[in-house]
Amino acid sequence: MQEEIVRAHFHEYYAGIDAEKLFIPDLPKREFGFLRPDKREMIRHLSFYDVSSLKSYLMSIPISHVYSSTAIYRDPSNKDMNAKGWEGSDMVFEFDADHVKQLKDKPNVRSGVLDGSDWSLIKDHTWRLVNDFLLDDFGFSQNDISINFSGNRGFHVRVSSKPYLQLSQEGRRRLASYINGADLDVDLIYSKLKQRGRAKIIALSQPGWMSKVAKVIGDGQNSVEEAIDSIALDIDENVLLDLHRLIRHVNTLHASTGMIVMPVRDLESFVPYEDALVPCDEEVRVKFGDLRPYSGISVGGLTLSEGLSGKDMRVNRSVAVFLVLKGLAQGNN
Amino acid sequence: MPAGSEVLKKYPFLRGAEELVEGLSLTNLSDFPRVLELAEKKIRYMLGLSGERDYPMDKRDAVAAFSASLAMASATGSRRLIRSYASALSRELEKELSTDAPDIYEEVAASLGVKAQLDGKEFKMSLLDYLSLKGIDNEPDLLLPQLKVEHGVVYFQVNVFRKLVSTVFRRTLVEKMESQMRELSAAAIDPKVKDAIASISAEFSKRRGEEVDISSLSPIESLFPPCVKFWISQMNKGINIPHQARFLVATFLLSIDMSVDDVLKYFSHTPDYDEHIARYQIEDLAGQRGSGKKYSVPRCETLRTSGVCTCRQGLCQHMTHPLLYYKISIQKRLNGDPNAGRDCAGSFS
Ligand code: SF4
Repeated sequence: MQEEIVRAHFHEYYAGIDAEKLFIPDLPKREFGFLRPDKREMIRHLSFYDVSSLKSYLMSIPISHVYSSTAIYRDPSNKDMNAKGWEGSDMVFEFDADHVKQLKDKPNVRSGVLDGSDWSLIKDHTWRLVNDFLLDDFGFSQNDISINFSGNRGFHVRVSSKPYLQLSQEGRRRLASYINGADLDVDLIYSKLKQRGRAKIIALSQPGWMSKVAKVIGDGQNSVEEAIDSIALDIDENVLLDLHRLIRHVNTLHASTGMIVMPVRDLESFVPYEDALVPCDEEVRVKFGDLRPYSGISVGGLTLSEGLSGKDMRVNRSVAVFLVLKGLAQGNN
Repeated sequence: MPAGSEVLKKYPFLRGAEELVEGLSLTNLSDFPRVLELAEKKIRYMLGLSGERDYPMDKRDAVAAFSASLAMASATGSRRLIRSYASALSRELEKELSTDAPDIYEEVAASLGVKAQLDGKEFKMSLLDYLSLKGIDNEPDLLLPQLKVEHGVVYFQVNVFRKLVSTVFRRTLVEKMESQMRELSAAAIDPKVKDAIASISAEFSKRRGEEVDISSLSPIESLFPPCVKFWISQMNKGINIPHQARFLVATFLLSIDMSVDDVLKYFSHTPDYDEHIARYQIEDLAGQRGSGKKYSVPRCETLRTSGVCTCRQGLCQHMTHPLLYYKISIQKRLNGDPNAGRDCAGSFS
């Protein structure tokens, strides 16, 4: 029964989706990969001529995570990586709650269900990455940047800028260590802070890290280290440096949540557990497990609470799929 | 168009300079005795082998002597000599630039493929051009967080820009000389020139003789630092070792001049060994892949924090770098010390 609910959810979603929503630039040049939820075997080195063939494939396979390459290749389905003919890679910055140091040890985050304050923090990091680093410092254009909800615990920020496609790993590493502050010379900042009068003002108004630190210190925070900590972002360097990375394909379903991997236009107002649920009118019956650790978290209008633990109830099917896949409920007849 | 006389004498590598010396090579260098003399003196002076400096009067001589000196340094076949010579030339360039007005820097930089413009009192460069520069990652002042960065443009104060240009210059010279070294055939060198090269080479090794040139020895496993020995022994037992430990072993073996194939053998016993992937990774560490960056062996301090260091006794009590451990142990062995390389021996097999 439970499997049936999930299968129907995925099948109906892919049957109903407008194929155009699966489009990304250079789609025929991307490698695709599919991973079953038990994560035992990855089918990769596939490519699709257009969105309709991708959609048909999605309808024909068992439930899977769906990935496409950040890279474009001359021959994306060639199994030999060296023979694929790499032509360049988008840059992807990943923010996942389990990589953010303030969140990764929280019990609810570890079991993969985030509360409102967790989402605020991740959204804040994502917003700062885009606004402070990618737009202000690196000068990318708004049009080159897209933000996708990952379908589970975070966001992917993708930069598709033609001149940067061929940027080497060394160059990407420099960007990463700028964002995470790894190469920052703290002594240099201290020495500038010690300067007096005009020299100090000029140094601290210098765009880049210097003025970022100066602003935070000006806001009343006193130590330079604390300031740096509050500015630096924990991006996953491996994702950015991997020129052959496969990342979740837009508008497919995350196989561990049933939510949509969706583009986010307005980050501030985006509510993952509302906006990324597949719209659905159907209700199904579920039996809740132990919901105590998730009290107060709301999914599709249903607020989880201790009182619901162990209860039997009819809920919206998308909510049911989320809860079942997260192990918080069981499908029931 | 080649630059003016004075400028070329100072910066004999500017664009167009090579046109002035077309046809000059180690085969016919002795047909130009003045150039040979200048080149030899330049290398000796720069390497600290003699205090005598000779300044070319003519731009053609300056360019020819510079270019010949690089070829001669390459012909010694010594990586160490090449690196020392490149470092000395790079320091000299930084000094020369500081005596000139910043207007000239742009042209000097452009000859090295560094695209930057003078903008008021600073130099500016597009972020993409900055990210594409090679070989600047070991200079903290040249790293992005220390620079002014705004809307995709990176700004450099004049002194920092000088550092940037000289750092790129050093890297360019090393690359050029190493590639000349690989392509050179001894037979093509004029005997007179050969003599000059041999004497420079001998004096240089004598002067540096007190230090052991580890890259010229074949690897002596028993003298490897305890950490490297330990992690190799784990791999030999078929145990998967942490990423940082793999990084240490691979960078260490590469930096004592082991080939990628030989390094691979050490990793072949690990349970998740995949030759294709391992080769890719090791070639990347060796700087033979995409970025061209050669990774250095981490310092002991880093290895201690990441839990990869395995010994705190004897030589390791105050050790700063695994390569230094290896060098000192070789020296000890040469001096007949039976305990060389035996720190923490017995704590693993
Ligand atoms: S002190 Fe250095 S050389 Fe010695 S074991 Fe530790 S890391 Fe290795």
